This record gives sequence, structure tokens and C-alpha cells, in this order.
Amino acid sequence: MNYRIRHETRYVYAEPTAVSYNEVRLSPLNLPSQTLINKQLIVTPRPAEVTERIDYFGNPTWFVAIDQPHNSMTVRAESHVRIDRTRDVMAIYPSLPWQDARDQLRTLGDPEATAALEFLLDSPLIEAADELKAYARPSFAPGRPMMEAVLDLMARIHRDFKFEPGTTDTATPLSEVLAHRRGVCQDFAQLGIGCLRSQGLPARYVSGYIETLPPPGKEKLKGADASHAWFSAFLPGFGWIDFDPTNNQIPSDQHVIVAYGRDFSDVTPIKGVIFGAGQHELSVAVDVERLTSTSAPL
Amino acid sequence: MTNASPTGSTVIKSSAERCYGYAQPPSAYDELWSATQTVRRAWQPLIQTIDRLGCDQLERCHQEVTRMFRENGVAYNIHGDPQGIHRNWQLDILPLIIGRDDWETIGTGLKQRAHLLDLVLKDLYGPRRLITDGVLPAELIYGHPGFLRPCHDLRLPTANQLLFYSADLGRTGDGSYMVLADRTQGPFGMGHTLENRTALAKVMPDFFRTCKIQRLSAFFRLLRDELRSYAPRTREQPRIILYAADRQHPAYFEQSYLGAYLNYPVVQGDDLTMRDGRVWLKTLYGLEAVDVILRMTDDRGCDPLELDPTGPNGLAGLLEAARRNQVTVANPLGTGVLENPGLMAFLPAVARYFINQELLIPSVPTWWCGREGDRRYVLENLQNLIIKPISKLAGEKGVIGSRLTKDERREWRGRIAACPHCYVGQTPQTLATAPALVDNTFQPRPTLARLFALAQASGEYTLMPGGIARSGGNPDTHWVVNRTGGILKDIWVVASQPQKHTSLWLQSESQGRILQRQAVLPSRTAENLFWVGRYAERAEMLARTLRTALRQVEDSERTEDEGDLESSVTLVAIVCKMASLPAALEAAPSPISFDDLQKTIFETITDDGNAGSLAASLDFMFSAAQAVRERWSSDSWRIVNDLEMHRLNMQRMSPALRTMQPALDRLVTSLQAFAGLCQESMSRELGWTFLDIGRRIERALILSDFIRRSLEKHQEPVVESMMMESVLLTTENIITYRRRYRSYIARDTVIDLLLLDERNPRALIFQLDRIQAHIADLPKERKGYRVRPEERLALEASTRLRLSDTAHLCQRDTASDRYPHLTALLDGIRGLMEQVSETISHTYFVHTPKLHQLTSRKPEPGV
Repeated sequence: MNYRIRHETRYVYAEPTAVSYNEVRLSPLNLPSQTLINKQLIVTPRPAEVTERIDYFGNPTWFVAIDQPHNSMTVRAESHVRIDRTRDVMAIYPSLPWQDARDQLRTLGDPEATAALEFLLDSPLIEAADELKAYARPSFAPGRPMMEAVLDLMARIHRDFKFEPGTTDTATPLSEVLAHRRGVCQDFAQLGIGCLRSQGLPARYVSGYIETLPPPGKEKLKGADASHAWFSAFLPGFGWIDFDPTNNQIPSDQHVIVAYGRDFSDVTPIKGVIFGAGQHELSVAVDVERLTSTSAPL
Repeated sequence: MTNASPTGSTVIKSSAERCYGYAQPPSAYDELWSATQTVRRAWQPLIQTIDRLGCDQLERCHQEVTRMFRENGVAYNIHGDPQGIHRNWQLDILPLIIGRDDWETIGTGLKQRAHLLDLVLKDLYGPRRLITDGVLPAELIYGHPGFLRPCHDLRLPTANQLLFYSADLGRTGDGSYMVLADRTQGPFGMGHTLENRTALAKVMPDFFRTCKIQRLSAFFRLLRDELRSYAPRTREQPRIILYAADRQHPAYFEQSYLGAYLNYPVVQGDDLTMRDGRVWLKTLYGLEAVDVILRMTDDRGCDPLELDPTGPNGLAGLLEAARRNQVTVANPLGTGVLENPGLMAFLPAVARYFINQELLIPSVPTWWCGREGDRRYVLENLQNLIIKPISKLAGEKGVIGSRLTKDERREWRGRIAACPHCYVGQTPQTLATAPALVDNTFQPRPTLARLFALAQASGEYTLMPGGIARSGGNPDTHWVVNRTGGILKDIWVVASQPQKHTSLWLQSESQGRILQRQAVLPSRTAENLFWVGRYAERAEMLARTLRTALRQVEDSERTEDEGDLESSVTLVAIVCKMASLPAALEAAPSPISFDDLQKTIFETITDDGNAGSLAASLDFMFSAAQAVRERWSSDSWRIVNDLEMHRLNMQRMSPALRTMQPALDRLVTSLQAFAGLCQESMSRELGWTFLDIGRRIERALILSDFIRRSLEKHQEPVVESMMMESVLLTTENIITYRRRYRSYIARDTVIDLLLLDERNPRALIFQLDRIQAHIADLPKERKGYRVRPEERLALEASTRLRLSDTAHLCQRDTASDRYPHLTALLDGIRGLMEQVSETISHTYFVHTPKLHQLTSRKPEPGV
């Protein structure tokens, strides 16, 4: 599947700022199942510099500095990706019990498993808590196969929690999400991560996009998409497998992966500092457009 | 007394015992006494010198050093944490002496350790083989808050990544050495070492002549050379700065001392900016590129963009500039990961893994609770161990197991169970003792040494032949965790031959040329100097006015004269207005009593809750002076400390005339001494210009305000003369006036002397002339004929004053009984001076608006 993605973020400041520095993580990753065909970043006002590097977690990251006085900033990231996720996870690893998966992390001596241990520890936005352990427990009966347990956890989050934008923000703690049983994809992803870690299983955060379809018979609205988030669990000997609790599905050809991290704080799409303006307004427009063979390339 | 005879040591022993009653403590290793009850070789010259000079001389040195440190206001905080209580440490004149053989052992051991930690650092921010190969457990590193993931691709152009390494080294009961802590953020305590050495060299020169010890200057010269060589690009003279902790931090003092010694600007995050991928220092002449940063502040707070976003002392973009090798930060960001006591449990394995060697100096025995066996041991032996978090960054402190109550032990067990990898247990050590001079006796105290290593371009480490030692406050301190008090000692390393005196000065000569470079004045420094000038002057003028008011009140109390009382009330009311204090007098019941006046004066002096009070003016002055600590001569600084002492005494003062008067006298004397030193011992560079502009602007503001308020109204002749006398007295003009005009006091002559006499340094016109001259000296950005706003304002003020005419100013408006021309002139000048101050501040000083974080929208797909 081919997609063209446009992600435009606009900041309007309360007062002019002379300088701003930003870290931008808006480039889809190049992965075996996902080919990045091209990408570009357009920033206004014209930045003094834009440089790109790969961050600690392997995510492409732009450093953007603006050194002229400005009242607003627009960051537009555009990319063209091809997705081909046809592996059948269930068939490959159907029956490894989750406790074995947990124990093999340390006994296998495999570098990937050792590296996965990093995703077992607390991270800035996800701290171990008894509530998380309690919520996770029903999915993790002793001896239950790992895949089955995580699929069950994903399904329960999908069932128990109401998708309700505007009820949480990036700083809402997981305990509150658990208490009110509502939130958005970021909350559900972090909830899933917290639950897995509470069982001694590594889990990481995935930020990206999902293709949305308009109601039958309607035209798709421009800018109506948004960035998306889900989680990824580690199976020793196999690797990372993604789970989307918001949609109760294993990501398929409609998911585009942008970044991996311990939680949202590692993969924030745009992180910046400005001097002066105490307030800012933010608006975001995202389009994930499926390209047919007749569509013009980017 | 014989020096070298075989029996010499016995004689020495008896002498030392006689003087100081120093007896070897049972069963432990002592630095001074050997097991055979003789003075160890390294200590013999010291003891011989004491014997030669006499015991009293040593005590005198001790008192002298105590006095010096009190006067210098040395704030000790060698732990580098803000909670550390300072000023409770005292410097012991008895050093810790390290003999040649021991120094050799220490040197090879610590160099090996520095080398090893350097390899660990490179690996952790690189391939992390230590983790994948199972040498270090993942949690030990990934769970440590000092592991800064954004630093993973930093790589200095130097052979080593760990450029500064410091160790806390102790000697155990059997005399062998042991490392108790590794310090890798910055060389904390290096400034103190210099300070201690400087103080001792001044107080006890005889000892330095007879004890052949290694000097420190060669090390600091090397340090400067090495830092220069770290510069990412070749420049004739790379710009090196010292990035200090924020000014309120107790460690700021020693950092600014070090900066002053090395001649590096001492800066904070907001003195710097990142542009075009480079770091720049904001100076009065514009931005100046920075090549090397000597970092003395915690790495997590160094970059609000990529590291801790709440760090108030950070520089947004620093990490990116370092990543691109546009600036060398020493130590590089991320080194805090090595300050992890848990690492000690694995260091022997790391040594075998990397260099196939055993550790030459072991670490204190450490059990890391992330390992099951270790955890079990720690939980079972809690009362016999010291429990520490693997990182102090979260503010958690270590505890001594034996001192915990049963409940506390249970609580600690719970903490360890909840986060096993976060804690270690270590065995408490009985450290070797060294003599400390306490209450005029030698007393054996457990002693710990902080030593410093520096990486050279060759990849080798060099040890500073000296350092700072800490002794327990009590003889039985078996572990120096006691941070609230104790004894600091200089460390003397015995030299193989007498050391020639060298200093940093010799260097340019030896290179055969003297490089001159424009002195750099950071904008922030200029700003602080400006405010020192303003607040010192404000405090002095306030103190003088208050003193005059007090005298008036005293007189009127004595004479019970109506006129005296009225002028007292007027004067006190004026002081209140000058100090912008709420008019306490207006609220007082009429007739106003002496008590009310006295109370009002007292509040104007002491009420530091009010920004206009004398106490508050002094506090503002201190904080500005402290921020540019490196700019003051030792004499000036001593006076600042005197002032602080007066300020402290004020707090304990009673509102009685008898106590207030001498307190104000002392204050005025010290403030004048400070002003005199600024005038006489600061070179007339740009920094001084800002200090003096501040002083002159403040004096002009206060003069115009004070004269206006005192003379604006027509009063009874008796009251008017008294007011004029008060003004002359307060402004230090009374003697000049009497000499010139004898005993006749009249408005026109007073105004003439106070406002228009160009030769009178206390006259308003004199201040305006100086301000104009100084402004002409300030760096100009724009070329051409355009008059800058501050020049225009100063010119206007001085022209208005010059064009005024005394007779005109003395014209009274009979309807209102006031002097409108005088009021208009003085108000106008006051307004102009305020504008000059604002314009200068706007043009030359750093204005860093508050940092604001941009956030991202939370992902909310419309599914």
C-alpha cells in the first residue's frame, strides 16, 4: 500500500520571539515492512538551519533553528511510504507461554533480548503501579501463550476504555486514565505498555499514522487525519510485535510507523523552546492519502 | 633538636606529644605515627618545623587562617549539591601529607581507574557492549537517571572522553587505599584546593620552605594548555569559559575562584546563546564564539531542549553544538552516568573485560541490589551496611543501616523490594586517621582525600599533586557522610626535589611572546557591576540620611524644642519617602512622639521585607557583588564581608538610638571604604565604567529627590535652616559649606553648592558630568554622527542644570509657598536619569526572556 502523508503543525505565539529551537520527529521509518520513498520538511519562517540525525532509539530527527523574530511557525512534513506487512505472526509463534517469554529475556543471551530490557523499566511517563498490575492480571493467567495474553489485554483495553478526545492531555497520568476509563490512543498505548511492564515484559511506544476512511458515501475531508499511537511487545527469539489497542488490531497495511520510544516523551513529534512568548496556540492538520497507481507521486 | 639522627624521631615524638598530646589511636592505621611509634618519614619535616617554631606559633597560624577564611566568607560545599550546608567547615592548618611511595601507588591506581571509566563512558554512549556481552546488567545503566540518551552520539575529538576524573580516596585500617566514590561531573573541589593552598602559603611560609612539597601551579598550567588543545578548531587563542552553577548554588564561590585563577569568564546558561550550530558568549562587544566549556554544573540541566526542560541554568542547543563538535564541553554531557555506586560492584569484571587487569586500588565493597544474591545479602545485613541510591539525582540520600530504627529498616526493605536495581549496600569503613588541630591539640581523625585527574591529549591522565581532604568532626566518625560539619585539609604531596616557584604568568614569556587579547566583558557581568554601583550608593545615601535623622531626633528629644521636633518629623518623613516605605508616620497619632520617630527609623533600616529599606538595598548589593565575585580584589571582598557582618548585626539590633547610631556609623564607614577601593584599585576598564555609571546615576537620583523634598516648601526660618543643615550634613557638604560661607546659611548658597558647583564631587552637576563622560566611553555599535539615546538624555540633563540660575530657582510662589522652579528642574533631571538607566540597561544588558516549551498535540486520530 502506498501513502502520501502531509502533517502540518502551526504555532502562533502571544508575542514575537527572536529565536526558537526545535526537535522534529515526523519522518516515517525505513523498515523491512515499510519503505520510505521520499520525505521533506518545510518550515516557515525560513530556518537558519535544518539538520537531520538519527536519535538514540533509531528515529530520524530534525534539528530546526530559527533566528529571526517571528510570531508564528509552521512545520510541514511530507512523505511517501510503501507498506507491506504480510507476515503472519500467529503462525510463527503460537504457543510460547508468557512467563517463558519473560524468563528468556535474560537467559537467551541474545543481544536483541538484552537491548529489550531497557523497555522493562519505568520511563518518564509510565511508572510502575499496583493498579496497572491489577488491571493486567486477568490477561496473564499462568501458562497462557504470550500472543494470546497480549491480544486479550489489547481487546480488554479496547472494550473497557472509551475513546474520548479532549478528556486527557499529554501530562495526564496513567492512574487517572485507569480511574476514568477514557482517553485517546496515546493513553491506551501507554496503558498497554504499563500493563506489560508490570508483568515483567518489555514494551515500547510506537508513534505513527493510520489511514482513516470516510463514512460510506462521503468524501474524505482534508486535514481530518491525525497522528496515531500504539504499543509494541517483545517476544524473545522473534522480536517486536505491534498492537493497536485503540482499534483492537495488529497493525496492518494501514499503519505507518514514525518512531519508537519508551513512551510519548521519547518520540514527541515536535519539541521546541522559544524565548519570550508565554502562550502559544497550536493547530495540526494531517492527511494520510492512499495513492493508487494513477496518483501523482509526491 | 637533632634532625637526622636515628633517635631524631623519638625526640620528635616526645615533643609532639608534649605539645599536643597526640597519641596513636588503638588498632587503626595512622598517617603520622607508624606502627613502631615513630613519626613517618613524610611527616618528619613538618613535625621538625613545628618543634623549631614552637607550639604557640602553630596555634597562631591556625587563628590567622580561621580569621582569613571568616573574612573571605569562604563557603564550602565540596559535595556540589544545593542542600549541602556550607560555612560549617573549617580549614585545618595541619595538612594531609602523602609520601612519595604512597603517591606513586595512588597515581598508578587512580590513572588506571580513570582510564577504565573512560572506556566505560565511551562504550555506554556507543556500542554498549558491556551490556550486550553481559558485563554490566541492563538495569544498572538504563535505570540510572544520569544515563542521558540524547548524548549517545556525542564524541569529543580528544583521545579520552572523560577529561576530568575525581576520586574520594580513603585508607583502610591496614593502610591500603580504597576508592569510596567516583566523581565525574566536574572537578568539584578544585577551586577550594587552590584557595586552601593560597591561604596556607600566606600564613605559614616557613612550612613551605622546609617541607619539600609539590606545587600546584604546574598542574594548572597543564590544565590550561590541555583545555586549549581541546578546542574543536585551531585558533590562535581559543575562547574558554567556565560554565558555573547558578549563583545561589553554594558551589558557585569556589567555581568563580577557579575561573578567576584560570582567567576564564565565569558564566551561566543565559550568558550564552547557540547560533549557526555554535555557542556564543554575549559580551558588550557583541557575540563571541566559544570553543571550550569547562563545565562545573550538572549535565542534566545543561540543555532544556534535549535534556531537563526545567533546568533554569541551561543553554538550549548546547547538546546539538557539542554533537557537531562545534564546541568542546569538558567533561562532556552524559558523564553523570558514571557517578553510580552500583558500578563499583562490577568494576573488577569491567577491568578484566577491557584491559585484562585487576583493579590496583579496589572500590569500597559494594552489593548491588539488582542482583539477587547481592540483594539477599543487603536485606539480611541492613544494620551492618550503608544503603545508597545508585543516583543522587532524585534527591534521595544514603543512610547508615546501624542508625536506622526498626520501622525505618522495614521501610528501606520495602523501597529496595520495589526497585531493587535502584540501591546498593556498602560496608562502612574505618578510615585511617590523620592528625587534626582541634582545641590546640593534635587529634586523630578519620580522613578522606578528594583527588583530581586530568586527561592529556596523549590519552594519559595526570594527577593534581594535591587536593582536598576531609576529616570527620568526631574522632569516631567511621565514614565521612557527615555533611554538616567537619574539617578540611590541604593535601601535601612530597616532592623528590625542592620545587621552584612557578605560576601561570610565566607561560607566555616562556613561549617567547606575549599575547594580548581584548578583555572580554560578559554583558551579565556589566549588569551586575552596574547594580553593585547603584545599590552601594543607595545604601550609603540611605544610611547617611538615616544617621542625620537620628541625630535630629536625638537633639529634639534633648531640647524639647518645637522647631527641632518639626524638622525631625519632616526629615523622617522624607527618609520614608526616599526609601519608598509606606508612610508609617502618617498613620501615627498626632502629635508624633519620639518613639514613633525612632520606630520608623528602625523599620527603614531593618525591614528587609520592604525593597526600599536599607537592609534590602544591602542585600541587593551583596547578591550583585557575589555574582561577579571574581572581579573584586581581596581587600574589596573583605569589606563586602564586613558589610555582611554589619547587616547580620542589624538583624539583632534593638530600636534604641544608642544602638542604631553606631551601627549606621560602622556601615557608612565600610561603604565608603568600599567606594574608595572601587575608585582606587579597579583598573579603568569597561567593567569599572559600568560600576561608576551605576553609582553616579543613583547619586544623581537620590540627590535630586532629597534636595527637592527638603527644600521644596517654604518653612519657618528656624526649621528651614535646620533642613538645609541636614541636607548639607547628609550629602557630606557641611564642611565645604562652612569653610566657604562661614556660619551664615542661606538657600541660594546651599543650592549653588549642592547643584551647580562643578568642583564639588557631591554636587549634582558633578554626577551628570561623569555620567556623560562614561557614556561616551561605552562601546558603540552604530557608526556615524547619530547621537545615541543615552547620550542625548545625559546631555539634556546636564544642559538643563547648567542653564538654570540660582536666583530663579530660589523664586518662591507666594500663593502656594513653594519653589516651583526648583521642583520642576529636579523632577526633570530625576526623570531623565531614570531614562538613562533604562536605556543603558536595555542597550547593554542581557535580556533573556523566560524560556517557554512548545508542546505537540496529543495524537488523536479520528477513528
